[in-house]
Amino acid sequence: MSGKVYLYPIWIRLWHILNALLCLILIITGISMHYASPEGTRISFGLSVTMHNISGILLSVNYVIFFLGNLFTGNGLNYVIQFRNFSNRIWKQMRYYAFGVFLKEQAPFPIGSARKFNPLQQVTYAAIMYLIVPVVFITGWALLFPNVIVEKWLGIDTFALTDFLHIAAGFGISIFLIIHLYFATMGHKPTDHYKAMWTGYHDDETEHEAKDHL
Amino acid sequence: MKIKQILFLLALLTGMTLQAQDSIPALVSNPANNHCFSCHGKRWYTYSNQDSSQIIRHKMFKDLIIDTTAYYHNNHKSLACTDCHSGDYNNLPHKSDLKLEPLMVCTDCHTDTDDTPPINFTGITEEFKKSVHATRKNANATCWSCHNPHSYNITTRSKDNLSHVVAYDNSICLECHSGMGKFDILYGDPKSNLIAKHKWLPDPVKHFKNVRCIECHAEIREDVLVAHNIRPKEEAVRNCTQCHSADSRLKYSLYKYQLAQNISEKGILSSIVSNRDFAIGTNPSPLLNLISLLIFASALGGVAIHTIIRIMKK
Repeated sequence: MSGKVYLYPIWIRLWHILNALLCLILIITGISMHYASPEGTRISFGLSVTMHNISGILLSVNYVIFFLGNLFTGNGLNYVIQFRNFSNRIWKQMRYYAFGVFLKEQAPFPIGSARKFNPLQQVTYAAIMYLIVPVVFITGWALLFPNVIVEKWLGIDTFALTDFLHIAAGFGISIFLIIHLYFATMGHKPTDHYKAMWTGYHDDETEHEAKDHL
Repeated sequence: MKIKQILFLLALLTGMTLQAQDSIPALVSNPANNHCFSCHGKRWYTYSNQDSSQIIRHKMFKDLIIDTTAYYHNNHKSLACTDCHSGDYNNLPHKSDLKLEPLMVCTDCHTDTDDTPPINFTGITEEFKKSVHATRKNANATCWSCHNPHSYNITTRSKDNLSHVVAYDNSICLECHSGMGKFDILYGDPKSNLIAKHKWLPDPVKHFKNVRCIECHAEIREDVLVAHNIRPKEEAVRNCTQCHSADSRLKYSLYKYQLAQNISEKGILSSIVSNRDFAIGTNPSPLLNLISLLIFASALGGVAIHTIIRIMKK
């Protein structure tokens, strides 16, 4: 297994695949309900609601696994954003994606045992997992039990606001999913990252980098 | 001790002031009705027998008692009793044949006007005649069965508080259908429980508070302000998307003159801030939908362009 580094232990891979499947179901059923009409929808409204509710509950449970896993293993450290030289590092990574990757440049922050996420991944994943996903499942639970929502807050209809936040956060996650699936093709070979999420072993990009420098 | 007395006096004075502020505003009274209400506004009434001059005291039959406070707050408050009832009622004791007096119906006074929005009394009458209240055997319902002319307040065109409209209008249905009292007498079903019967709804109580019974139990006719064609329970709406969708039936009924107009005029953000009534799915913003589609297309387009350049530069 030379040139490979074990980055994704089994619990992360199981959590990740379950998270991906649930998010897909939630997005598809969510869009189906959003564009529902009395004449009917591709997926029946009742089925969409049931699937959305069950998937949402499972996603919340899965999130607890993720949260506790990050808390009690070293995985959580990958989500701690390094603010030192922050904008410069983000810019470097963005420039690489916009130009460097076409010019066959080396990735500015190669993935290896010491670094699992590049700075852009780190900030995006942290925002998604610690901000957007909590918003989506907290508002989701509130919509599941609408009587717990305070009806008015500072003159705002909080039920409508909860619904709006739920849809907006869900939309944010669907956009993230498109970009995430595409960026996952940006390994040395397009399927490398997908294989890594299946086997747990990721190409040691720092090693490639070292070889390229020889 | 003196301090306590002063405090007591202050409390008393404050209380009196508050009481004065909270007192019911002067009622619009029609003096012509005082004569009638002197008997029909009470549980017990007295009259003098014109032949024997004897004072007679009787208990008023409860269906003939008028709640005078409710009367002077209702839509007909400016009317004299004899505007609808025979002028012969001014004579005491009432002649017995007056009981055969045909009762007026709404359309004897209410005709279709150019009001905005129009109520369309002709349409309401047509719709009522098709409803279970008119077609069921022994239904015997009239306008007055639901709309007590002595206490009725029209709420539909209220612009301020839809929850009041919902509560008031549902209370009319619950008079008979609450599973207590009249419903049991009508249907002999003492176990009737509205919440249990509506358990298929995700949250029956939330629905009862926010929409009227007629939203699901009456057929909507666009040119009639309030649906009156109550359908049999088998025909009640059970399809969630009938209400929870962009083309929600609530827009043609409960929200007709409020939410739907506000959203089309002000947009979703304004409706979130100012709207008092909201149902999931009824008010998707075309603008937000367009923006979200543009962002979605941009993300897919960006991915496509990036992929093409990657392939070209391979």
